[in-house]
Amino acid sequence: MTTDGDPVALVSGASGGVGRGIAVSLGAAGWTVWVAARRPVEGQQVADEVTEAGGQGRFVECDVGDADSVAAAIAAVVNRDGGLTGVVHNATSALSPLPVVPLTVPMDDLRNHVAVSLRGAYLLARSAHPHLAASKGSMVLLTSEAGFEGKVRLAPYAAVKGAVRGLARAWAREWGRDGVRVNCIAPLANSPAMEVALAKDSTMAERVLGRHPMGYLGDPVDDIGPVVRFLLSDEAGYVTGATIMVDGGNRPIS
Amino acid sequence: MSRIPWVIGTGPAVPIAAGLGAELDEVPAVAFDAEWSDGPRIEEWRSRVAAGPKADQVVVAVWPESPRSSPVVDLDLDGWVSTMEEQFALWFAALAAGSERCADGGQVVAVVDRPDPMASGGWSAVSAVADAVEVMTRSFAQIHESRGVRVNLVTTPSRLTGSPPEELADVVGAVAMLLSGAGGVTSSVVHTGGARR
Repeated sequence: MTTDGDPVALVSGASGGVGRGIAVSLGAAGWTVWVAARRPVEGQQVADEVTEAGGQGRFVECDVGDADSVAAAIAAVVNRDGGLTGVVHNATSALSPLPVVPLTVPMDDLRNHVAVSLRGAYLLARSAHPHLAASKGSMVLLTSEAGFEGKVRLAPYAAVKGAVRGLARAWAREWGRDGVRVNCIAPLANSPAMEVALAKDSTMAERVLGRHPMGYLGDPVDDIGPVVRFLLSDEAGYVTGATIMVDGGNRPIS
Repeated sequence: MSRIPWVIGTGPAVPIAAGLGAELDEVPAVAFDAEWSDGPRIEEWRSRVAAGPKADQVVVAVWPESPRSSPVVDLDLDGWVSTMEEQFALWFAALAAGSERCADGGQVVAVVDRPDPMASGGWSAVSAVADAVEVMTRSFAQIHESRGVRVNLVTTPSRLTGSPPEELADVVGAVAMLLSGAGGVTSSVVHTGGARR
């Protein structure tokens, strides 16, 4: 909660795509939302959208793979708003939608996937935990269908998304007695990253939407954001360690 | 088809190799820093190993020395890198190379430490590696499916719980079952170490 009593969330990688949708959706419910991203212009634009939606949008520059940057971002939130109610780790590597051959993928590229998705989750968890414990708050990590089924062309992305689920399951157990919940969502959404993936693979649209029960990709603001909002809210007070598929029934497992 | 599998992994996996009547082909000993400075060594090893002769049966077991639990709030960055990121990188490289080396119609079996989910508190890095390896096996199963290669996973909590070494016999048995190729199983996970999952 802020010193004014409003809930406060930090959303990583929120300068576009699904992260933007989550931030705006939280704003529509009156949250104070910190858009944590590396791109200040785009990040501030989303922060402004949050404010226009009815919340209080703020931007903080943050590289989630860098310990000092993450610590500074969390400190900025707490210093300005007096606390932290929710953390959403949405950021993924810019390499995520780019097809690779696993046998030749450079270790530097693999490190980039790991640094953003996994080290970022770890650093956010470490820095945010005392503040989430104080507010009895919640953390949401973004995984993916790929983190269940694997991917032929996106094996590094799929692997880090699988690992995210293992983190959430363990942290839910570590933090439950502190009153801090940790969950995942696995969205299937229309986003810039998805557009890149579709453009790089001519058969992907048919593979994804040809079998899709609802026949369309989710909207980040209207379809994905509200589920995160639920998980961050007291209404989800007994939900922890779970992965919620927000994919229109495309792969209904958890 | 040969009956002795090719086993690649780290030193602690020697008992698995021995149980299968094989010798261990060790992945390079690395000590990752936050920048993954040892990455090029893994790339070189991966290329060299992948170019070797084909094997009908491949077992991959990248096991860290003496895994220890630690709540995430007590895990410093060096500990995180060594218990999570280093293992992730080694697993990815070893599975990529091992799957490539597998002959058409052959079998690949990975064996990974995984805590019982109800006891996973304190084991977040190990749990994350295990879940990553599960997804890696699914990716590689799909990548090599057209060659008839099957890729599966065996998980075990035994090293994490301090179980007696005899329990490794169950793990070896599960690996041998999957190496037999019976039933055309691929992209699947066999949990050992108890019924609670």
